[in-house]
Amino acid sequence: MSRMALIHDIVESTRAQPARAGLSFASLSIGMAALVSLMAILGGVRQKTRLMIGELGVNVFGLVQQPASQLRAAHTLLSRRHADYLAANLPNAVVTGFRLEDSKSAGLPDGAVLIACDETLFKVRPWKIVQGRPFDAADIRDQTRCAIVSTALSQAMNLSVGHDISLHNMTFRVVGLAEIDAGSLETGDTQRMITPGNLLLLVPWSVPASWSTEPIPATTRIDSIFIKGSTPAPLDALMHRTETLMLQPDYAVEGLSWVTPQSLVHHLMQYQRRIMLAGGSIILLCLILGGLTLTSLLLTGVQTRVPEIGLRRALGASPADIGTLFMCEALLITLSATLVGTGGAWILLKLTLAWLPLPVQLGPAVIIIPLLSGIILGVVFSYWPARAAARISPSEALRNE
Amino acid sequence: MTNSRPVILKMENVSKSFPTPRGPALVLNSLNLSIFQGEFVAIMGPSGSGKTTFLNLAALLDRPTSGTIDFAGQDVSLLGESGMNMIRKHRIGMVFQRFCLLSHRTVLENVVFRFRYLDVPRSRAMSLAREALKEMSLTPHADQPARLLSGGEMQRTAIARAVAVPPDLLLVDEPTGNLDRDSAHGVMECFQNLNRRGITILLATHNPALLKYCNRCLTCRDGTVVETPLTGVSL
Repeated sequence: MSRMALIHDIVESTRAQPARAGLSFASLSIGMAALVSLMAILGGVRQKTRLMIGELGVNVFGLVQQPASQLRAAHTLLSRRHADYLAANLPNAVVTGFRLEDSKSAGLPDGAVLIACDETLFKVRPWKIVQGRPFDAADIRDQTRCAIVSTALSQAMNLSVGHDISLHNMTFRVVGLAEIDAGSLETGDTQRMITPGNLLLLVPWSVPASWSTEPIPATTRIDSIFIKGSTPAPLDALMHRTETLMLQPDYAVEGLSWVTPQSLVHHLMQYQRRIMLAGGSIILLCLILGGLTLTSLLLTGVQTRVPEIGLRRALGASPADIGTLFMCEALLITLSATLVGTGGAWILLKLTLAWLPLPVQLGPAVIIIPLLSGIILGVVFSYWPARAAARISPSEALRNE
Repeated sequence: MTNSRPVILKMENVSKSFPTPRGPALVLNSLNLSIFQGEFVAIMGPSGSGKTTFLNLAALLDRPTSGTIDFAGQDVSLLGESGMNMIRKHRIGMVFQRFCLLSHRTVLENVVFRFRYLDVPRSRAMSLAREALKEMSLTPHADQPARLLSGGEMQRTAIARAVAVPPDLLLVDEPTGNLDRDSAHGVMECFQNLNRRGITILLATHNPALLKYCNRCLTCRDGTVVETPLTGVSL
């Protein structure tokens, strides 16, 4: 009978003080919901960084320029000329450059990304052709109207190799399907170069500059250059050589970001620190507030329930039984608040995932850590009241009756 | 006093003092007495004379400062907290002046609460609780919240709770203090019936009118407890 009776006691005692229990429950639920959100965002940031490192490819680094609107002079734009120059001067490396085009005006559906690239893209980035062929030098030189579609976009648009697609009123023939599972966690231009999402359409870079068959000048802007070393040796030497080349007066550009696995990890650490400082302090405050309300609830409970404690002792309860009762009452509140807060935040995050400006990852840790926190909070904040209740002398308690 | 019945509670040189800022206050001083099985003993005395302290010692809720207490032949000073708990759980019943009911629970749940720290299956506890309520004529109120009962009914609920597990010793502290005359009479008759069934009762009161229900009287005064004839009590 004792386990069921304990549960019954706990529920009855909580019901006897609904306002205080509700206040504590609400504070803890909000705190737990915030904790879940913070963890989901931190998990999302970590996942995104892993994804970006994976998407960057093995032995690959990138040069990404800020958008043209943020640059001081037009002559400092990163262009095909730079990609060709680096390719010519880095014999042990493969160089690719690409540009993000306006997919909406091209007539692609929302979420799709249009990339103008060269024939070496698939040698540098870890994207695989699963059907058909990649672009070749002739496609670029001859401004062939061909396209490669990611498998996700091919399913969304019902396209396959040999099908035609219209972009800017020009017909492109799909020549290849590529496996690109880069997710869709991108939030900024630099990240979009690394993880452009999985709804991709690629065309030869020589076509979209003017969407015509006119010759394309080498000064045509590109957004990024990616370089892959031919050996698995550290990239330092190759990066140093690239840096030297890019400092040549004719090729110097401004607003260039170097994207390396290390820079991505550094970026993650900075991001995590900011989120932890901002979100963590609010959450801590919420949880401490909830915990203190819980302590106050239990202390008031101990004071008002002295005769009940006396009765329990008279009926054979040990001090440990009394302490356990109060601790279990606290645990009921913290655990139910944890479940409600966690569940609520989980559902809200799931529903708003598409609109959130931050990457979010909902994994088992997002459940387990708040649950453990709930247990720890329950034990820590009920320890003192439970100890006080257990220490009440039964004869003193019954005198108060 | 000689008695052929077995001793249920024996106190030898029992003293109890409480710490105060001005040093220990002696409430009971060198008590020597025996309570025999089947007795209905009244402990009389004015407020502050040590009646409740005496009851707490008898209920094993407190330990004496000195001296020994035997419960049914067992020296309880040798027992630890759990040993005293075991005796309280199984062999002692208590009834309080202000009933000590859980007001938001039903009458039946209050009586079932007697089994809270006993290893008794819920169904058995319910059945014993219902029997106890029947004996106290409270069956119609079983599912009513305890707070809605009259004073007399509350006290009878408290008695039902105390005797749902038949105790060897029933300790009763001012059971009629909060009741009108008729209710008090009803409650005392309940105690009398329980005593007739062999339950030893120790009743603390300052109301001499209750002595007619008892068969022995002890008086607490100045830290001592003395045997008093049932007819000779004056407070």
